[in-house]
Amino acid sequence: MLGTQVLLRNSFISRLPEINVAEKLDNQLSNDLINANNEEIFLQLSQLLTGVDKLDHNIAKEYYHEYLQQKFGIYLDELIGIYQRVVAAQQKPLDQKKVLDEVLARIKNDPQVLHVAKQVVRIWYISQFRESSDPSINTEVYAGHWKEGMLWDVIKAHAPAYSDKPHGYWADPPKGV
Amino acid sequence: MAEKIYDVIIVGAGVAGALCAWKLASAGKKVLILEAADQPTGWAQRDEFREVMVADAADAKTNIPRGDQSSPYLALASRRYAPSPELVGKKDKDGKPIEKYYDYDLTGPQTEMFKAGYVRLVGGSTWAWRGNTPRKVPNDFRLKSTYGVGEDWPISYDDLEPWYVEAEYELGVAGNDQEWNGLLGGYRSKPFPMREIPLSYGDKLVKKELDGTEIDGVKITVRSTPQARLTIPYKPHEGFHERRACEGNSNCIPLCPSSAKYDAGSHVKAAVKTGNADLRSACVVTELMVNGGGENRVTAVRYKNWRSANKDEHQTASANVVILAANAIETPKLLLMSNLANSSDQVGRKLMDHLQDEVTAFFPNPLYPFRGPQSTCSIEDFRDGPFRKNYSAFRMTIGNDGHGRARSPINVMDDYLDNQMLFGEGLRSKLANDIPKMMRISFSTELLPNPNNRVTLSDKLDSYGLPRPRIHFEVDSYTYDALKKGHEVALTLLESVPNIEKDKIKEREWQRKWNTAAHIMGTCRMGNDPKTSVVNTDGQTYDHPNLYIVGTSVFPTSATANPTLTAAALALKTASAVLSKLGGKGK
Repeated sequence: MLGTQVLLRNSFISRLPEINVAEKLDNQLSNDLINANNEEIFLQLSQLLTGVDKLDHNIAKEYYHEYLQQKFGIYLDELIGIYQRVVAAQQKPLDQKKVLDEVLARIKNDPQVLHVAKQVVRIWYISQFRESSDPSINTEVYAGHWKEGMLWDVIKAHAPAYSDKPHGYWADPPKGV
Repeated sequence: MAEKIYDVIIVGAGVAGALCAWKLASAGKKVLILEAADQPTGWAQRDEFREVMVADAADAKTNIPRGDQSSPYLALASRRYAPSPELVGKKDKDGKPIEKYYDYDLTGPQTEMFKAGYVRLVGGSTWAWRGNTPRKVPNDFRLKSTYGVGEDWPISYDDLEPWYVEAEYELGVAGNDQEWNGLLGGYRSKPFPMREIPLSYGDKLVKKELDGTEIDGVKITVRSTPQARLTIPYKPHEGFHERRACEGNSNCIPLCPSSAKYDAGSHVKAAVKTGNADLRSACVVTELMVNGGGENRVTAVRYKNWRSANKDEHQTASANVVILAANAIETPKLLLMSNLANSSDQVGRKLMDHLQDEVTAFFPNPLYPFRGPQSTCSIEDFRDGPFRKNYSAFRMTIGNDGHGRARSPINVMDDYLDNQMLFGEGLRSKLANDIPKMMRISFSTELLPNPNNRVTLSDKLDSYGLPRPRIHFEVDSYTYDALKKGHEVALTLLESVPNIEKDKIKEREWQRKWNTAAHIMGTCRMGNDPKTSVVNTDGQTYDHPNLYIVGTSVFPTSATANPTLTAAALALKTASAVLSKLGGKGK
């Protein structure tokens, strides 16, 4: 569970563009801690937005640092900050549906942050995301994990071109059905 | 060093050329294959194709979707010098046709964009095909004499039947003999080389609901589709790499990652392995030369090698016989560039495709598509009948791929995200509920041969300085009426399923539209009359005794069968004729 201090710090960093020198130093010193926590927060936020419980930590790290943070920067910070504030304000144990509804209520009128939320879902479901929120232009970016896309698991299939199953498996229903 | 003397030069290493090469080389003939592409055909290349499809095709910089037939092949250097039509039939944001290679002639009132593309590879478009291999039915060869429309073929089903058998064994076709022997008169003299592809779990549920339904007095039967996709490890002869049984990757188009689906690379490799065939790749043929004196024999094939130090320098090769096996666009283009074989004025004319459409629905129970081949079964009952006097036959397929091209799972997810603002458990559960129920019934129609539908040479040049194909294409009411009828039958079938949500059938109202099956046929028609035909029943051109044509370009009519098996059968027949001419016996 996240510490209140870290929650507040992340929230504070994401909302204030200018911070004093001491704060900067403090940030650098605790950079690893914050990053680690951001990854964890990103993972929890991802689970909330996708509705999928078991997301991979290593992939989360990759998606967060190598793609989404780089492409969406402050808007991703803003989304994480909103999530943190909603979580902090909710009674424990958390009602995930309430958390999701509250997050969505806060971002629905902010096109940039809403776009990032959708791309968090897309990157987990199909390992690709759109840089631009303008649907008329193609700005898809591939994020390296097609085979691990959660969409295929959700629909009880496998990523197209990656069966890993024996001949004829398709004649039977998926396992567990 | 003197140029090696060959018995036969084959232009193009797709399925027709590869089968000819193997048949002739294995009989001891010296064969040269000239192929514009130059990629290897082994496992490393196959894996790379998959990587490119997954990564590059998803990326905005290519602007070609992952499922597009060209998507695995985007990294090939040959794309520059042997371009393929890409994004065919697509328009830009302003409604202007996207012209990548094709030059569309859109003049005239009934003109439409030709939408069928292909890939230029060692192995040809068999890298990117679905693998369906139904035979034509007997009346497909006598459309004019039976129904008074279209044209008759100069050969019959009986003539081609032994070659169908040979083709099925070469390609490795899985099929159910009981279901197909005698279907619409199409007898089978030998069983399929292996049992059929198992129907998917969902297809079995669909079959249970649709079998026995009567429409226009026709009793519907859902049958397993014969497919050049293995159900056992298989090699047609010693010396071939053994392909393994299908693992159900759900990716037949645009690439089979396992080689269970036939591609012609296997026959190219086997031909070379005999020691009698040379594959000269990266060689784009630019002209065929003939001698004078009334003989009109093709004496030389001119080509440019884009991998050579001087890529613009012409080289030549000679042989007793030349076989054109490019495809129904590239073959007529080369003949027109050479000004050959066209005394009938038929070269490039009567271009055809199978125009198809689909009706999509949500089955009452989960079918779990996207597991196994993209399609395992079909409805063949409307491929022949007296109605062909008025509108075309159509072949129906049941998809094992949700809504197919109409709506991918990614499209559905984007719709729920963008338009319904669904996130979290609401999104997950709706995707989990809806996508496994997605199904389609597609129908593929016949297009009559129309001399106005043609390939000519464009003034515009490709990046190697050769004319691009200019294409004029019209669709008449014979086909549109069949598209409408196919829609009606598909809708009736879907609405007959108990508890199906009728309001969720997306295409309830018929619209005058179609998609391509990418089955390019015609342009060098086969016939008995030299005045109206390019080749005779052996595939030999009437104008040049040592020039032959194989592939779908020789088809006089399209009928409704997916064309590859018929092209393969005809190619084997032509190879046999060439072998006889050269004095030799085949295996």
